[in-house]
Amino acid sequence: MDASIKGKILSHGPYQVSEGKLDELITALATENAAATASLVPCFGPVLDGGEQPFVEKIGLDFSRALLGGIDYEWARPFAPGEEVDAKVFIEDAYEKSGMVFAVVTSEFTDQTGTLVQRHRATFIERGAA
Amino acid sequence: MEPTTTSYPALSRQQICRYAGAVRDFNPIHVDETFAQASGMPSVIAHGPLTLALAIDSLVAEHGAGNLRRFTARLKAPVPPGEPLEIVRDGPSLEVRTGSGAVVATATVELA
Repeated sequence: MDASIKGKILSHGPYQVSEGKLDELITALATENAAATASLVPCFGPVLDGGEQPFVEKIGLDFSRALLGGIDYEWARPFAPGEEVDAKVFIEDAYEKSGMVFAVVTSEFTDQTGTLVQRHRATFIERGAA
Repeated sequence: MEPTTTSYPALSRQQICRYAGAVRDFNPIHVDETFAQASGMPSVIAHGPLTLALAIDSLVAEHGAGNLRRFTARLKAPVPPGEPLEIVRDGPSLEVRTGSGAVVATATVELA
């Protein structure tokens, strides 16, 4: 495990909560409250920059043995359809435990005033080799 | 208070593919049956954030999106298409169960 990856920024830039993408998500969820739910979880930060495989490999995990162990969402408010926010995705922590590698990837979304809208932390686990 | 249960119909492969498109996560374990089976799964599996989005949806229905402050979840097992889901809420604790009763995720919830 390369401890020096802690703090590494994986992607940083503007992210638009587009109405088109929200519509796609609403269709996928297919629930009565999907529009409101989509405003809380319109994206998954770690894959904003090209999908899961490039991201997992960027943090040094073996894609074939990596899985998502959990997510911790913090919300100040829902996203507004169409708004543009600043999205910063970075490795908050990385460690080994019980023969497995853990990487905590944090995604922070702030509005045009710099106020936090949402933070989520995803914990990825690389299972030990068989 | 007694635990409350919210039921969701089984996720379909089409829903999983739509979610993949919406969030641009085309990990083949979610969309490629051959790849998923070669990875030891019985079939493709739902994205973890999709399963959790349905749990969050049950909270939105009860409290409104603006009243959710934190949702801390652990994913326990993959969710294949065709499995109806039940969200069982007991105070600040929540479980996502399949129709067969298996717990596939647990979470704690904080409201405004």
